[in-house]
Amino acid sequence: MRDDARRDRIEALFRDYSRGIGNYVFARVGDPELAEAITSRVFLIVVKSIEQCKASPVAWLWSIVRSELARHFRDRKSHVEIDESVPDPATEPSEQAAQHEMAMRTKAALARLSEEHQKLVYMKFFHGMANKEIAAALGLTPSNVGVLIHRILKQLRVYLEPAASLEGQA
Amino acid sequence: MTEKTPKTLPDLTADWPAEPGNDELARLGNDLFAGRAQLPQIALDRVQVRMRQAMQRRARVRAWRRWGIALLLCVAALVVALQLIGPGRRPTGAPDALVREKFTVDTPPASTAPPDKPVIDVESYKDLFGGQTAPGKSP
Repeated sequence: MRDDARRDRIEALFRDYSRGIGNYVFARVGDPELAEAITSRVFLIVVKSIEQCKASPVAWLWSIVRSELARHFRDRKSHVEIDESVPDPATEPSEQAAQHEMAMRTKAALARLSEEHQKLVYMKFFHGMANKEIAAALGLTPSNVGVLIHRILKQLRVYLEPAASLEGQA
Repeated sequence: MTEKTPKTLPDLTADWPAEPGNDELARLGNDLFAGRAQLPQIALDRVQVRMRQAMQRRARVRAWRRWGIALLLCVAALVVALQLIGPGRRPTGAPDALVREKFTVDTPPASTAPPDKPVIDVESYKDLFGGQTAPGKSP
């Protein structure tokens, strides 16, 4: 691939998918600096391996994101997790506490989903893709995707219950 | 500082099986992800800067590699060319043929026949060639 075509392709992937990737990683790890570091690693891998992106860019990017998150969680097991997130000074303390709690519950709930469901959540809720686009990327039908989304939300409703979210964090 | 951007999910409820709690489920889906915290734009800008630096580094390495290969090919071509047209090299052609040369030499006619009698009377000097010589006698 010529250098300029390569560069254009990488820039296009960044423009289209970086926000969804960054937000998903942030939702999974809960820390903005860590999310930035992992998102950087994802795009450094994109620079190195763009030639491997053949059919569906979003599915290929997902494989990189999944791999980097798995690496993070594997390495994290030997360290104590400290919540270093800085609260937004513009919001009220009670709102900050509610936001923080919701973020933690979302993080725990997402971690409990199966890998296939996490992929669908990533595409639907973080990239805002339509069912038809998700179906094309994953080799499913739009109807399958709709049914799976329904099932995932039912699971998340259970996991986001306060008692269930505490179990997930244990 | 986290940013919150409301987001409407496209066709969230499309193809859902008809169940009583679907409205609540749809609300949950929209609230949950529209209200989620998002990675700040400045963080994404820094990610983009690092990505571009990596692309530039890679482009430089590839350029050096292309120049190196081109130089190597030139040197190889030069060596081959010198081998072909170098001073010590003989033109290729048919292998050396075996050369036979014959010269006809005219020899002079045979010389006169040898004399019947020897030139020197060896008998009178046989004492010189004997085992013992008489004492006091000079040759």
